Amino acid sequence: MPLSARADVALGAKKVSVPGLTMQAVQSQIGEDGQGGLKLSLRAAKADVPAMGWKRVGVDLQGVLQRDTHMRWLFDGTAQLAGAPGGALGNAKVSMVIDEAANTLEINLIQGAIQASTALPLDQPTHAQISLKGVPLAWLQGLLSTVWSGRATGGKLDADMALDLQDKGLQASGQFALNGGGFDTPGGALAGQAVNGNGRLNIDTTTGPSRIDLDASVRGGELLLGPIFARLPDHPVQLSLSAASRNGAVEFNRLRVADADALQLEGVMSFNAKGDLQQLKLDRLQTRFPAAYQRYGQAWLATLGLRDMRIDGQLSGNLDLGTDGLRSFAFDTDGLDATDAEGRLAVKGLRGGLDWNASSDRPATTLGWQALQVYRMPNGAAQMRWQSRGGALSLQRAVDVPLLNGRVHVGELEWRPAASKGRRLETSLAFAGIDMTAFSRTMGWPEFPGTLGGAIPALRWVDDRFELEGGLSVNVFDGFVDITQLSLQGPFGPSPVLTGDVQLRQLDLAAMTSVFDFGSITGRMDGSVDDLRLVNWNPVAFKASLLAGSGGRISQRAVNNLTTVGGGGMAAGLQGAVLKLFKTFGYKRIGLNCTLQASVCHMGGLDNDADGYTIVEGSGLPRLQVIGHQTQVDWPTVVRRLKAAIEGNGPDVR
Amino acid sequence: MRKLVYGLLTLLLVALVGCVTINVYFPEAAAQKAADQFIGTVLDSAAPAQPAKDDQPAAPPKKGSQPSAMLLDLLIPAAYAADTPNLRIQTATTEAIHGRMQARFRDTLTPLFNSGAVGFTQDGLVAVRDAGKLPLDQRAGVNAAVADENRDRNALYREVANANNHPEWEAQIRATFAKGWIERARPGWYYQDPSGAWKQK
Repeated sequence: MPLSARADVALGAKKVSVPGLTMQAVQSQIGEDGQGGLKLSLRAAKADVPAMGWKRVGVDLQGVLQRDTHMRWLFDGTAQLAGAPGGALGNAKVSMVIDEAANTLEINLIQGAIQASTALPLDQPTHAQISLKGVPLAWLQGLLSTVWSGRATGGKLDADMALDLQDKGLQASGQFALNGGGFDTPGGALAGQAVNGNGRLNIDTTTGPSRIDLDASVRGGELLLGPIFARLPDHPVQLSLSAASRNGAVEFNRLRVADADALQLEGVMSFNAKGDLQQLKLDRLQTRFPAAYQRYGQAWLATLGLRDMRIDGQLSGNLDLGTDGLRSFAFDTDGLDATDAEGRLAVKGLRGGLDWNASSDRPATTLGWQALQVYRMPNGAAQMRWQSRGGALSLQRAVDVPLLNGRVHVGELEWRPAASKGRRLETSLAFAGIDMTAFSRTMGWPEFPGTLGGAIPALRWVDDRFELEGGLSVNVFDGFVDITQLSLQGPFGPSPVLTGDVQLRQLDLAAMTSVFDFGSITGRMDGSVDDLRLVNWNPVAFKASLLAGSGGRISQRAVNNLTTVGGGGMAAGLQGAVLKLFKTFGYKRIGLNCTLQASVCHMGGLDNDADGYTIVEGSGLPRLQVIGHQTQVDWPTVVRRLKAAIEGNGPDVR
Repeated sequence: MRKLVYGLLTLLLVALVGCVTINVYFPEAAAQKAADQFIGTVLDSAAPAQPAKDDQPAAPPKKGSQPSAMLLDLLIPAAYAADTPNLRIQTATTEAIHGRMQARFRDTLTPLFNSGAVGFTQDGLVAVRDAGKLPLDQRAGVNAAVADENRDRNALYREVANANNHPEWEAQIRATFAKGWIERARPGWYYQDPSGAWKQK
């Protein structure tokens, strides 16, 4: 072998630029391999391919270039890239075919089970046909980063794509199949995991906002879209979307989802760069429960405080939600049952729908239910006519809803769904003949007979508070309990606040004490509980003053109980022994005041002096006088004593 | 010093308006102490009880004769607050909220704070800072936990103000708590500075 036949040519360049590719610190060497081929070696310290999102990638290409009988150039060798996104082509086999006659360049890359091949015309090297098999999505991270701010977290891709690289970006379109795909975004509001799918994809990053069109069927895995977390079923879900992305913000200007047995929707959706939902417009929404709840609705309803719901039935509708709030919604169902886990709200046999628009009038709709349960109160069947006019949804005619053997009459009702603050709802209510026996049973109280009635000429929903004008009157124990100045804040939250003033008029103490098993007192009682404030249905503040001023008799047990509630003990010694001889005592007046503030009850009675306050003022013989000395009693203690006094049968308002 | 300036300004304003005199002012020191104690027992619930300087048990023994002093404190805080109980924070309602918050911190929120997924906001609430730190299936749960926590926090600030018979103090109580949460945050946890940017402690 002649020695002179081996002459290597070494070339070095600081920078080499061709369209779509810049290389720095390039060293190449060409020599003969001694078998009629050329040994090629190309090293570049830094190579940038903007269209692929590759920056400062180290390139090391080694191989042998030969010419075959068809006068094609064949290259076989290895490619090692350092620092490419996802560790792409860390150590790959490369084979290339350059066919000048056919004007084509074919490149095949193989690394383990991963295959990528591309074919491109020699005179237009920016236009390529690419075929991928089992390529990790992470390898395409660079490419993806040119389109959006997210990143691929896993999955393998098969694809046949046509790619057109341009200065400003790239255009690609073709078929793909994704296996176990995952992605994430900064902030983590949009993400996916273990998603399988196949379909058709078009990407165009050459225009202002990058555009993506996707028609795919996806199977399995999980998707997070802002507040919505979807657990995709094992059967294919059709997903068709067209998205535009600019500076991290994503706008789905066409979105179609079809999950045959759970959810079908068409609409528009957009997120800002932080991943906050900016717009949601669902034109055709069809849901089937419980599948739709389990797959798509669970997480979103949990953020609203509704957990572990049981929903059955179907619902169709539409929705338009913008940054300025709700613009329109409508729904229609031919049968829906829903119950929340805590039993605060349950509806059975919901039928019909609502149709509301913030700016235009809508045709009237009918909405009815077989049963509606709010807290424990079971409401009977009712049907309502609604119409949206001028941004308000109003009841077209008054409705009677059966409640505990009586009825609730809903007069005028106007609901402004768009007002998230301020007055959202106004209505007038009237209650008639509501059975207190059934009511107390429902509340788990000792049963007492009576009826509840009253009128709320105006109920307003202001911010998160319901304000009730007028009042309720309960005809109970042959007297009246009037409740006025009612307001209710956050009724379905964890700490609902109820405030009101209560007036007691001429209650028959005999009837009352028999129900509460307090010992017996006869006579009539008047009183008031002003500024009552219940949080989570437990009293935290009030000014109560109770007075039985018309005389009567009081049993020894009742005296005992009154005394212990007031913080005293039964008189001991001789006095006590004498008292025990009598079953009942006559009294002239009984009075007890309690002002509750910050868990402390400030007690008072008929007349207060330095020594104490009179609770019972006796009459006749033996003359009984009960005097309280403790003016400040811890409220939980009072409650405990009261409970003990009525032997644990007391009202336990929950 | 700043307090003095504000005080003088207020006085000036009152003098200018001329007809309204307000003598009750927010007992800031007492509120801070009370908030600190509340926050401490919520945050340290996972750790064994520590013999901190002013740590009382979660539910101190309630005596019939004591609490009136607390109310008085509010009205004359300067004279009284130094060595006596403080702003009334423990009521049945706040205890219930306290219990829920304690459980939530123990079971859910602490790891989220440790990972930087959530942080304390300037208005005494918590917010999702970077859900990307979490596995996907947990993120939806985080939103719900944060929403629950904030519902409880809003109720807490409102109820503390109400328990002290000054509903109008809600904003100040919220601000006091907001400061307290951030001060008590463990190293590595995130919080929002006044401009709304996230900072790591």
